[in-house]
Amino acid sequence: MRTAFGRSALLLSACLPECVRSLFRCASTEKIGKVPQRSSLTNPRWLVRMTLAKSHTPAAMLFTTPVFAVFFLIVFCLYYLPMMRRWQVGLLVAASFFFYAWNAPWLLLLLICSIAINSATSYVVARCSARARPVWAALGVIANIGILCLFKYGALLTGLAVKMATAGHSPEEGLVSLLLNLPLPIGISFYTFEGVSLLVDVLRHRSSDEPGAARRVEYVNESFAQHALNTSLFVAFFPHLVAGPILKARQFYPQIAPKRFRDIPWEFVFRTLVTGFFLKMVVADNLKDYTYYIAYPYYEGFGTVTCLVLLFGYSIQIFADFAGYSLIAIGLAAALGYTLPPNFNFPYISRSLSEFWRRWHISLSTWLRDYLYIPLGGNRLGKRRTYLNLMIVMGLGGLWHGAAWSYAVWGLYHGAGLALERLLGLAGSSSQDNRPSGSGLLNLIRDLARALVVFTFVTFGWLLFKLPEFGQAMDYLATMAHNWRVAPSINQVVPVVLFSLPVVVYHALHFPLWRPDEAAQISRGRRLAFDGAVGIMLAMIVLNSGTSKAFIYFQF
Amino acid sequence: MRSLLTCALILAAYCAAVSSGLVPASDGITIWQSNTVKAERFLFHNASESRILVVGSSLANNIRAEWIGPDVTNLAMSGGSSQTGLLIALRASTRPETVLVEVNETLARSTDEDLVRALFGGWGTLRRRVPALREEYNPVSVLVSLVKHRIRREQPPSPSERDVALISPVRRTVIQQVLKQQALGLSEADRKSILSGAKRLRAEIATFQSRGVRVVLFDIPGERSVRESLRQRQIAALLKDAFPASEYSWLPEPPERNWVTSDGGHLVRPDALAFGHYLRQQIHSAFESAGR
Repeated sequence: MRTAFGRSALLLSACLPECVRSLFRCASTEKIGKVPQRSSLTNPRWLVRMTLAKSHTPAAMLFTTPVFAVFFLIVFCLYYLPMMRRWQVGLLVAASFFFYAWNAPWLLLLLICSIAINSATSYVVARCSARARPVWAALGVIANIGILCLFKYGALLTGLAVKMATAGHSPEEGLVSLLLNLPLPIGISFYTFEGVSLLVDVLRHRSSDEPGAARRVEYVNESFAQHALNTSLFVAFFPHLVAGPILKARQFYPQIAPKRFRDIPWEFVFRTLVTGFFLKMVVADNLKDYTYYIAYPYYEGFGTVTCLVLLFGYSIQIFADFAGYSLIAIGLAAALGYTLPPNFNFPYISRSLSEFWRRWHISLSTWLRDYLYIPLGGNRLGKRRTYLNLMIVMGLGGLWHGAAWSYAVWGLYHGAGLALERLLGLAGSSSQDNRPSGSGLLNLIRDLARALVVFTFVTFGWLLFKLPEFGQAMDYLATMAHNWRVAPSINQVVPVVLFSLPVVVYHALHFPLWRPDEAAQISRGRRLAFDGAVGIMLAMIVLNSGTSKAFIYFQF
Repeated sequence: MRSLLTCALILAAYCAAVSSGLVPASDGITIWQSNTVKAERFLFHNASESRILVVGSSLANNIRAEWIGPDVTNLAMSGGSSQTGLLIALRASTRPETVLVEVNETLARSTDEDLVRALFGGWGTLRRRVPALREEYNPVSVLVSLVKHRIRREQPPSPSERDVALISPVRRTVIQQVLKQQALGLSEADRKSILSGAKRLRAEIATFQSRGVRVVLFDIPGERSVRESLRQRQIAALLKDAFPASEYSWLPEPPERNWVTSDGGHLVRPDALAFGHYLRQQIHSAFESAGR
């Protein structure tokens, strides 16, 4: 939005103190809509306005707020009461609905609608004839994707159609206006993908029963009511509901059983939660106050070094934010007796892009691999088709993150990187992920250089996340190239480096410098050091937490 | 267990270091932090000692309390407005002799509820008792402040800064852009926001007055061309109506001079110093006339 005020602000950003920039920050903040007057209820945009007003605070509770701590404590205490053992699933479903509806109760309707569709269709798919099975599964998948498209891409596609049909003049009333302003329900991308996973898993399920016997899918209960309850838990389980990890039906349903207090893996829960809260509250929440300046026009006054540091800082922030959220989710679920799959495996030490995608947002990349890449033919149909499949999967994966063309470009950027890597024979296999490419200093230097190249490639890709307007992203790069004479800004560079350091160390300690068998042996010294690190992280949470803001991945 | 022990040891050591003065306080390294540090210092140190309190936005924040005089606390919030400072002072139940309230279009900004909650919630109470937990002792801020201080010591305002600003092409361009915006006049939405902010402010002022505190309104001088623009004249008229001189005390207009700003709003440091001295004179003469 290049307003006149914006242009003036960009010129100022170079030479003015913090306090001056704050004036521009406030002046350029968009106004939040207001709750409608009675007369405006005839206009469907009241719904949009209401959502915009709510968007100031995220729907659902934040894990880092006191209100969530109270909520979790109550749920935890009730959950492990012996008399509640029979009702544990029901309690978790009710708690999850309450959690989701916290700030925007009406969004719960959509979640319940999605659960109902997936419960019913998966139940039918598990029981109907072999012929009807794909039809029902396809209907269920279409319903899921339809809901996602309507709420997530409705505005983008309608906007495109309006642009083509009316030369950019969008109507202020009616259906088109509603579509253009549809709100994005929090977590919709995550729970829709889980619904698809359920349907496809039930469809693909190979029964172990005798030939000729009725097909039985172990995780689809005989009773529809029980299956619907289990599906509600699968989709809505609050630790993973709004930002994953994306669960697979075959992994989660078998875990649904009564849980006991004595089985809680306390050490795992404690370490996972401390690491998660540290990454979110100390690293990500503090970095956001600096990476904020990667916004038009503030960055235009910064020099090359500052722009680079901010961009790498954003790369660290997005990792700390999302990995922190995932770890908190995994720790909370473990406290309730459920195992969620790991979502991150030190992605920034990857020595190839393929390895990066085996380490970053693992639940999404495996979902895309299992339900999109392999059905498209994967790498079984020749080189050209493999490259095409990679581009399709990554392009759609990019669009999954947001309804803006820049996300698709981000996906294609990664798709092109992956294809090029395969063409050059640089994509390693998963078995090589945790071992050095060879012994000796030269190999170590080569591994480090490759990791640095991949990290840089990925970091430049994040620019499209931070600046979804493509022109601004290019402008940022141009500024970086142009302002090399401008001195680094201490106010930005020093804090960003300091707050990024823990993530660098966190990754560096897992860089494959030694052989796997040596790495597997955890010495007493390392264990002590690890306990010390957890203690330091806990102290930093108390002393140096940033201001709480919604998790970045909530918007997807 | 070992982790908890490590954490407890670190916290105890840090608390001891802060209490013994080994850790220098930081003024904050972000806007939010600077505002919080300022509010915490007011609440935990000098709320009861402040005779004069200044509240406002970043425009008033440019003016250092020591330029105005002793026993003065500047609670102006960057990116905020007078309402936030007043609310903090009200919640703290302080009774300064005089409150100087900046009144201009920044009233349209809402009160920083997050900051107020952070100050007066349970965490705020803990911070009052444990200084190491206060924002000014945030370890990374302390470290960054030390690095900044080592690299570049802040110099007092010098008249040459004014000359540098006056010949700056960036400043000229920015002010031209601001003037273009100001020439469009006040929109209905902005008018409503300002009036709504004024209503909140009137309520806060009334509470202070009921406690026997003298409240004086003022505006920060600015670039003449900007002050004379259509929008600024409309805003001035609106605020004079909202806070009529018959009911509210206004500080007299500062002496005519060519006030220089860096962007049409914020005074450059030498001029901020001059306005600070003007405020000092006004306060002094007001106290003299009151027989003190």
